[in-house]
Amino acid sequence: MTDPKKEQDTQSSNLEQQLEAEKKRSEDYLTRLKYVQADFENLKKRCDRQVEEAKNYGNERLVFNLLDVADELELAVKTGRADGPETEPILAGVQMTLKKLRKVLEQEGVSPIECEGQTFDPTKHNAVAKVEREGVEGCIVGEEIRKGYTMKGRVIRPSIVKVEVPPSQSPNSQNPKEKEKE
Amino acid sequence: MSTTKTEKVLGIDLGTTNSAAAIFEGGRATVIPSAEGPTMAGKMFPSVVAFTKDGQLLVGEPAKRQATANPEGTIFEIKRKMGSDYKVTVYGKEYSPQQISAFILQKIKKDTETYLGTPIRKAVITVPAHFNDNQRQATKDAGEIAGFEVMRIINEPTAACLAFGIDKLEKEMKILVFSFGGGTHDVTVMDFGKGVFQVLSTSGDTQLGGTDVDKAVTDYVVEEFKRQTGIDLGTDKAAMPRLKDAAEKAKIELTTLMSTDIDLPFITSDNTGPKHLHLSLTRTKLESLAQPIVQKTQSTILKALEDAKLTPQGIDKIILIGGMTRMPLVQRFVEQILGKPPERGLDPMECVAVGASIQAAVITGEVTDLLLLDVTPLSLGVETLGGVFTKIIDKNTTIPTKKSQTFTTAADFQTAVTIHVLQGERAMAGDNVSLGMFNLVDLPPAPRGVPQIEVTYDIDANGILNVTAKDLGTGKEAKIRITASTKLSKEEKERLMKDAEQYSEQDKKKREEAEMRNNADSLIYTADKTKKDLTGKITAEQTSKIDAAVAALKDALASNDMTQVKAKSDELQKVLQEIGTVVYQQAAAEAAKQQQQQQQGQPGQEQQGPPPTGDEKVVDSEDYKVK
Repeated sequence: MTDPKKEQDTQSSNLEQQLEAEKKRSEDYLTRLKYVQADFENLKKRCDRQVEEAKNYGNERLVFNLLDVADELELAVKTGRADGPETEPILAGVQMTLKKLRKVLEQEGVSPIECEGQTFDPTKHNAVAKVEREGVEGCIVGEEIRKGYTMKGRVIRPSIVKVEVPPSQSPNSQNPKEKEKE
Repeated sequence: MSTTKTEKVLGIDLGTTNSAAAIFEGGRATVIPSAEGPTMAGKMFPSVVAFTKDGQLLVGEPAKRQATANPEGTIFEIKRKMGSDYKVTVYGKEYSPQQISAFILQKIKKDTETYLGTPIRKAVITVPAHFNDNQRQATKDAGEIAGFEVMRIINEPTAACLAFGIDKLEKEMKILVFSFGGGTHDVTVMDFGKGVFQVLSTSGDTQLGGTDVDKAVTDYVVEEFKRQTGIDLGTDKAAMPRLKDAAEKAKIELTTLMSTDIDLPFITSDNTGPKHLHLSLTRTKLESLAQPIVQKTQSTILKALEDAKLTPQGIDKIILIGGMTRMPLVQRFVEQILGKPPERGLDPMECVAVGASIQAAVITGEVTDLLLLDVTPLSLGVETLGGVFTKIIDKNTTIPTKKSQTFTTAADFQTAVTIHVLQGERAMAGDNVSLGMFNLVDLPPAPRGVPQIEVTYDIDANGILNVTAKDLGTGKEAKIRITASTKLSKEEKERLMKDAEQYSEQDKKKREEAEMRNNADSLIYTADKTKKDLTGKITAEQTSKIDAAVAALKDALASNDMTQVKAKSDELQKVLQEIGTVVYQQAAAEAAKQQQQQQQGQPGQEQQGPPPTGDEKVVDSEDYKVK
């Protein structure tokens, strides 16, 4: 014997359950849609940034590799000796070539990093040696070993430098690396 | 889990010497670039933390750069101390390894947020397979200190396997993961089966890596120069940075080239003038320099195999991770020992981070997401003049998508165009698959080239293609709907036709019943109307006769007995006809005409269109196919 009222009740509670499930599902979809939409907006912004980045720094690798050439021409000019009418024009020519290369780099937004005598800044300078010197305050760049460059404000090659620090007064300070080796 | 399915989770490779992170989105992993820009190590950055004397915190490249100037404030390789009671004291302040690692993770978090443009809160972090519970917990703590909710800690070799898709291979296997990075080397043997990776053994050398090879090359160059000129560059602080760079570059170049030149003009000078360094380095020479270092990995591999109680033949897959494994010598060496080639195709420096991001995506559900978008497998287009196939939507376009293109007429005073919808990659329409065809007619006569007909292809998320052609001059449009843009196969078509036949009898009967009911309803309506129209012109007897016939028909309809419906309909019709006199002939005639139309109209349609019985069924079947 089936009670029609009971049957109706089960039916309607089934429907309610189905409705709840559908509601939940549509809510879920809506949330996902919103996230996807937001992701998309963010992606668009990111793409814009990357296009901008590619425009500004697309030739960074080329410029970076040219820095070596600039270094070498500078060394040529610095160490080259002109001691006669034959070698003088060659040195002058190399000087002109260097000047031209610097101009080309400058047009790409490349400029050398000033460092000697300044406070050591690890975002721009790479320290490879340290000396202690009386009368120095803080950590100062004593000598530039290799020139560093920025391109449109970004460091593409840090200056390689020797730093000068005051004589150490803190024998307690530990070098974690050394301690590690114990 | 509290996470909503859509929140992104970052995969992090927190390494001893270098770290990297990746995020899985849109079906693939993207490695997050470090904010300082790419270095020799690619998108990775050094796992170095430093505090300056004035209390500034530095992480990554800048921290490494100031290490010489500030050794007491610089912390290298903190990962080796994870899970121990070790404390770092910097300028009077104590830090746990977790805290130092957290600084590295914080940088990753910040760089990722800058890159993505959205906050990121959750992460999966990798650890070496040999990490114990303490070390894993410490890594998790580091993540939490950095502000991450750490969803999972997974083994580095497992992450590498995920990156290579090993988990998708439906069979049990033994995998050897060979890791050879900048400063450390380890080998892990794993067992994969039923979706689970299990570590069988792990062994390693914590002080062996690519930097040793760089040093060997640099030393060789210094020696050569000394032999040629008698000058020792090893003590020349200006020459050494250039030399080290050149040596590393040469090593990288020799991955693809057989020989390269190291040219360092004006490397130094003596009283005879400037000196240049010129040296040709062959891959053979590099390999002879690296051989003693690479050779050391043999014992690690053999130890791992021994601990796993396996022979080289027992290994099914080999995975290489770390920058050193790019070296052809290393690949060959591993292949020689194990007797099979390693897996290829991924950047060995990024694959751990990529694998972690895949694990992260599995957690968020992105990988198994129902909403993963599909792409059109083939191009879709239209046939244009001369039988040319003009593409509208290119293959591999992510759907849903909508694209339009404007066409014109090919002949003067052309009043109709045919839109032939095709799918394929061939240049001529005839070589591609035809999906359908329709006409846009009644175009106003105009010289050729004047009318503008916009054809729009719109594919919804289910792959259903709607093609619309619209005359922009008159606004007239025509369209076609193609439910499965992958054409049905012969078997499928046959099945559909069979289904249509099977159900045709049943469907025909249903249709006749519906028509009969419609006819009866319309008769009842006519009877009522007749009664009203002829009020006062018919006798009461006639009125009651109509009423009786109507009532009988209504009863028949209610009883669902179609024979009765038919009989009562006929009866009512007869009554109405009897009542019809000359005066009322018009009304009667109209009613009859109406009935006639109804009876004739429908069978007529049956002849024109597709078999009506099959119609409904075909739609059903196609829906099934789309799913």
